[in-house]
Formats: sequence, C-alpha cells, structure tokens
Amino acid sequence: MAITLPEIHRVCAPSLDQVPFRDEGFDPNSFRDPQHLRDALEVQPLAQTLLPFVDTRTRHWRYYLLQVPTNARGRPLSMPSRLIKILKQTKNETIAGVGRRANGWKKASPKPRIVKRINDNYQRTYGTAAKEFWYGGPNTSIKLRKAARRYVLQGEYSDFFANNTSSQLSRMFHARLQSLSPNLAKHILKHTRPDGDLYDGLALATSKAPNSKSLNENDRLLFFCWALFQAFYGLIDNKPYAEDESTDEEEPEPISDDDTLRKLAEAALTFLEKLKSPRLKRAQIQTIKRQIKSSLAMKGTYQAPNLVTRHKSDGTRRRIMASMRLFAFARLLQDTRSKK
Amino acid sequence: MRKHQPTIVDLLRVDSRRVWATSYTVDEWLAYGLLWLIAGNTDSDNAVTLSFHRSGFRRAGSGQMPRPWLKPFDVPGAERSVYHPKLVLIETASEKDAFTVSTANLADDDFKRSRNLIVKLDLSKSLSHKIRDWIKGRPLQHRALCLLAKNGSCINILPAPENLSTLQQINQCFVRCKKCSRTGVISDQWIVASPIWSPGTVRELLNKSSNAKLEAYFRTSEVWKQIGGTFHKDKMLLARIDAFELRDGNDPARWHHKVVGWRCCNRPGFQSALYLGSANATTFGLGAAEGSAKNWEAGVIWLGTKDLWDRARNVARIGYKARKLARPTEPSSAKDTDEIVPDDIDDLKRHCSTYGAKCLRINRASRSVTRTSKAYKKFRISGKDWQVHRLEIYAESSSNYKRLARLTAGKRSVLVPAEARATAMISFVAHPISKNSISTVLVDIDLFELDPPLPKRHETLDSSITAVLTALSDGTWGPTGGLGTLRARTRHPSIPDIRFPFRQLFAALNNENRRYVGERLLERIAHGDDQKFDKLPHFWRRIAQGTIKSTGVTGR
Repeated sequence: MAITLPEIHRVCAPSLDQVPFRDEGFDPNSFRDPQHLRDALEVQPLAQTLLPFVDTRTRHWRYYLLQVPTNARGRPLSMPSRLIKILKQTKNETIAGVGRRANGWKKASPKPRIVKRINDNYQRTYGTAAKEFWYGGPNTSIKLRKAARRYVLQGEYSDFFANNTSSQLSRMFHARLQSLSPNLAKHILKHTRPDGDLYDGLALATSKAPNSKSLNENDRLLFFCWALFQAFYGLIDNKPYAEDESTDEEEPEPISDDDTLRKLAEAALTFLEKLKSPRLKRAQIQTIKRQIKSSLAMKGTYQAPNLVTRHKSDGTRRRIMASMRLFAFARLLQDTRSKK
Repeated sequence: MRKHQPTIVDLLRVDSRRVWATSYTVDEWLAYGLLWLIAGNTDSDNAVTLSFHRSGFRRAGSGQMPRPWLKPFDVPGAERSVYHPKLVLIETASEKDAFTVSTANLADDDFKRSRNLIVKLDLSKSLSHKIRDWIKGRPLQHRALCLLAKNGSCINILPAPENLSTLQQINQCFVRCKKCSRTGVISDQWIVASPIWSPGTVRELLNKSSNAKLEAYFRTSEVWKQIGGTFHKDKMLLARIDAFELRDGNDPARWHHKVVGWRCCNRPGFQSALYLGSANATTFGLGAAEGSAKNWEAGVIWLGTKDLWDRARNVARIGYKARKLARPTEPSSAKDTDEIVPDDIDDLKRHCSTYGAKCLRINRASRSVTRTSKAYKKFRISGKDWQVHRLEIYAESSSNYKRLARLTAGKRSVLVPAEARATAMISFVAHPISKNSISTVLVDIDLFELDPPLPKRHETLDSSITAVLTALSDGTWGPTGGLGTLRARTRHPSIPDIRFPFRQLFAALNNENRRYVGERLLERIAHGDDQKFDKLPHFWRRIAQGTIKSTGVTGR
C-alpha cells in the first residue's frame, strides 16, 4: 500500500471575534507587538498630517532644493543628470545620498540603468516630502525659490552633504521649515542647542512637552508616542535611517544612555496622566503605566518592559520609529539652523 | 505548503466532549479564545484541561480562563528541565478522537509572529486514553512521548519505560535499506531545523559514523557561530555540516518549528524518517543518545522513502529562503550541554522565567510568596552565567497597583492581600556583561494561583444569540463569514435579529460532524438551566421543545 505523505500545515491564528471575552476588552499580550500599539494610537496618520513635508528617510536638506518650482521663463531642471553630478562631485562621500546603493556603478552596470535607479530612489524618498515642502502650507517666499534655483543651476555641489556651513540659503530653508509646523519647530528649537546632541535635546523637549502651552493636543500626542515607544519597547530613535530602505545591511543597534531612557519613561507616564484623548482604553492605559512603573522601579540599568530586539523585527522594527518623523524633522531643523 | 492554511480551529472542528491540551507557555487571551472555540464554545469548568509549565502562564488583565482548566506543572528536580509538549487532544463522541501535534505554544508570539507547524492525526480510543494518561500523569519515566504515524492516523506510541530521549526513540524506529543492511556501512544523513541548539546534540548526530552528514537550519548566524565554534579544531567534523540560516527576503526570519529528517544513505531505495514535534536540537530537548530524557517533549514520527526525505527538507525550510553559512573562524566557549538561544529577548525571557519560577514558593492557604534558595544560584543560558539580581512582588487590584516587597536574604516572605492579583518581577544579570548582546533580562511571573475568583460575565440578548449561532456555525458565520453579522438581516442597525436559527440548526443536524453540537444545543435551549441562554427570547425555548418533539433528536 502506498504511503501518503503527512499533511503538515503552517500554524495560523484563527479569528477570535466570536469569543465572548470578559469585560477587559483588549488583549494585553498584543502590546508586545509595537506595530499593534502604533496602529492603536494612530501615530502614522498623525505624523503624516503634522509633518507631511518630512519623510522618514530625508537626511539631506539640499535634496529638497532639486524640486524647486520653476518660473514660467525658467528652464526645466534635469533631475537625473544633477543627481549623477552630485555623486561625482562628492565622491569622497559615497556613503551619503540616494545614490549610495550604486557604488561601483561605472564597472557594474550600464549608465542609463544606474541613472534611472538613482532617480527612482530620489523620487521615492524625497518626491512627496519635497512637493509638500514647496507647495504645502503658506506660500513659499520668492527669495527662497530664487536662491534654491540659483544653487541648483550653478552645479557647485561639493558641499552637498555638509551640514557645518551656515548660508543664507540654509537660513531661508530653515525659516520655511519652521513656518510649516511653527509650534513643533519652536518647541524643539527651544530645547536643542545648535552644537548639542540632537537626541538628548529632543528627549528634553519631549519631557517638557506635557506642560508646554505652545503645543496643541496633536503635537503632544506625537511627542508622547515618541517617548512611549522608546521607553516601552526600547526602540531607540537616535540615528538617521537609510535613504534607500531596500538596503539589506544590518545596522548595529542604536543605544541610549540610562538617564535619557528614564526621562522618556517618566515623560510617557506624565503624558498618560494628562492627555485628554490618548486613543487607548482605560485598562490599556493602566497596563502600560503599570509596566513602565515597574521598569522604573527596578534599580540598575533601565530596561524597557517589552524590549524588542533586532531578531523580533520581521523587518518592520526600524520603520516603527521612523514613521513618527519627529527625529527626521528635528534633524532637518538642526542641520539648517544658524550655528552662531 | 498550501497558500491558504487552515487554522487549528479548522483542523479540530469536531464535536468535542472534552479537550486536553499541553503547552510550554500560555498567553491567556489567545489560549482562552482558541480553547473556547475548540471545546465547542463552552467555558464550563470540565470542558478543558490545560497542562503547562508553571512559569509560562501570562495572565490577561483580571483573567479570562476558568481556573479549573489550568493544570500548571512545577517541574521537579533538575533546574533546566521544562515541560515542553504542544498537543491538543479532543475526546469526541465518534470512534476516533482528534489530535494535533504542533510546534507552537498557545502564545501570541508563536501564533502571530513566528512560523510554526501543525499536523492533525486521528486516534483510536485506546491510544487516546494512553495520551490522556500521559498528559494527566506527566510521568517522570516516560518524558519524551513519540508517536508513530501512518496515512494520517497515529498507529502506535513508542514505549519508553527507561525514559529514553527523543533521539534514542527516533533511532530505535529506523529501518535501513537492503544495501545498508548488506554492506553494514552506516552513512546517516540528517536534516535538522531548530531555533535552539546544543553542541552536544550535533556531536551525537555526527559521531555515530564517520560518514554521517548534517544539514542544519539555524535562526541566526550567531547561533551557528557558537555551535560551529566548539568544533573549531575538528575540521573533519565541520566539513560534514551544511549550515543554513532561514531568511524572510532580506530580513532574518522568525520561526519556531523543530524538524528532524533522516535517511540511511544516498543510494537509490534509501529509507527515511521525519520527526515533527516540540524537541529542540539540544541535550535537554532531542537529548543525548546515552542518558535519559530531560524535558517533557512530544512529537510524531513518519517512516518512508525518497518522497519523505524531500518533504523533510521542504518542511524544515517552511517556505523561507535558506542562506548558506560559512564555517566559523573563531572558537567558542560553549559547552556541550549549553542551550544556544538566538539573541532574542523573548526566548531569553522564557528561559529566565523557567528558572525564576523555581526561585519562588507559593502557599495558597496562607497566601504567601517565599524566596527559595535557588534565587542565590547561578544558571547557564547561551554560554553565559546568569543570576537573579532583584526579586520583587507586586499586587494589583481593580483600583491599585503597588509593590508589596522586595524579597532578599533578610526578607524572604510576603503575604499577598485577598482580592489582589500578584506578580513577581525578577531581573536577571549575565556574567560577563557584553555590549553586543543582551545582558539584563526582566521577567514577570504571574502568580495566578493566588488570583481571586473571576468576575461573572454579564449575559445579554446579543451575547446569548451570538453564543447559539457560533455553536451552530461551520466557521462561516461572523464578521468575515458568509452569513453576515448578527444585525445583517434586520433593517434597523440597533435591533438584533432574534429569529430562531432554523437554517443553521438544520445545517448542523444534517452534517454528520456537526450533528452532536446541534442536538446538544437544541437540548440546552429546550430544557437546560444554562445561565448563558437565560436572555434568549422566550419563544426560542418553545420552538426548541417543539423541534425535539417533531424530529425526535436528543442531545443526550
């Protein structure tokens, strides 16, 4: 008699919608998944509304300039050739920019394909954000448009990835950024120093946010989420994300010092007390509070109650914090602010 | 692998009289939901018996599962042994009982974030009795339960009176091909996929003959570095291992299955075997060829030929891409019996909480929690020594959450107030502390033994109708199903549909597999004093009584 092969299936979770759970109304174990909590708090759409002109991967402010609106009489700017020019003029910094994945392109691939790839990367990363920067919010100043156009047309891109220069163009860019989200920008700038550590400054701004009068409820909610995800999951948001998300390089785990994490945990607790609509049920808030309080109560190095490590990520972990856009926005502000 | 995988509830859609389940860890919310569905939508106290490792229970809020269901097992003796089987057995009214062997615990992580495998088998009543006894008794002398299966049915339980390990039992049931038997040359080939490994097990698999080969699947390359590093000097042995890491596209994949494939040689007509179960490739899991079983494990073995060998590779890869790993260049300090865990906080937490539960003694009568002498000793995970750093007891009631005490050498015991739910919070520290890997772990252990009685569930018209319809459904009823929602057939959204469910009832009565459920439910609506159905419209009871009279069905 022929032997049939065993029918082995992959384990799938059934729908539990029909199950009459007791009055708790939520599964506390689901909080171990940061994506679940992020969706429950609706952080991603909030960040998209508050900071549409910042993308999670926008690291270099001068890339925004390439999409400056053309005047009626101005000649159109050819994007691909300028992107190649940037890479050529900054070849000592091949690690930076949207073309970094094309390292060694001269030998490996035909030029048109590389050009298309770089252009696609650029459009994917900066396309929407740059459009919002120029067309969203109050009207862009004519001066900024002219200065940006002049910079792009001149083709002198050797300082493209440098942040240590303070020019009139960067000041105008900075002013535009501020005007797009004045409350958030003002609060962040107030607590970050031009030469100081951005992450520490942002953590300080977060800890002051619950009592800030200049921030509205949505701004505070964004700060709350930024603090909560770091204190609750240990997802440290202190480094820029890769412009090209398709990279398969495994980056080392970002780390934060103990004091900063404790500060963020305390800020998250304060937010939970003060926020009017934190989009969580009472039982959920109690659970989060209890877990954070327990971690704070433990002496020694602070450990997030639901620490998420790299291997648990399934590829989504690095995008959780990035989707809040707060660090990206603060970095752009920092890079373009006057150093004096 | 099929694209549309059935869920465990689909696999076990039979008329249940009682459910027997085992798991290492239990997430209460998910476990209650699953068992409620599998048990035929009931939460009566004797509907389910759930056996699990005592430290593995994670409470859901103020509790969901009837406490009589819970049968925690405080593993005696050796510190590192765990109760690890993942079985579900359903006692039915028909000739055969339904049974699943899986690699997933009744936990969120295994069901939602990791890939796992499950197989359904039919059991004769006598085998079912033996397995029930094994679940109830948790014998010290037959820890590794290995079943032999053929054509979708379990045909035998391998006897293990001397407490043979899983690997020993697998070895015993091998049948070699004629050529192997004639020549006497042993050249075993193995395929092993396991998230946790011990160097000793690799040695066991390969030391049987100088020709043996191993195709090993690791969750991360770091595990392979530690395992391969122990054979750093033995190049001949390393050359016989093909190591792979399973990847989900460019990301490291998260999987949890344990598969062992074997063939006697690579000549045409070779014989093969496949094991699927709970045993990791560790000295405590699969076990050593010499010595007794350490963990309580359960798995199923199939015997076959070439097709089964090919299947074993597919099953081991579980739909992921396999990336070949290079031989490690540096030696590792891992010992033969060390369990090398992926540097994953969840796995580390599971291991630490197993040890943490042994640091506590609970006295239900006096409602006290005491720190035991184990809390002062070191234990070993992933090649590091770990020790309890801090042990605190917290109490939670409906309005309050506070720390009761920190248990130290000076203060070893604390009383938990009545009506409070207690949780132990233990922090562990590793030595030596490393910057590149996790060195501190914080675990919560729910002391559910001291939980106050669960709050009563409020029955409403909606919930009563839902309970009836869910019991009668064949899985299509519900928000995602074909029959629409509770209110779908009424014009007004706030008025529930209270018509008697003739359609679903007769669909159940006419289905051989659902008939028992239909009959029993009809009986309960007609004559039962079930509190759940008190809220149903009164005319439902009269209709049910009339239906029984006219059709002659009985739920007894």
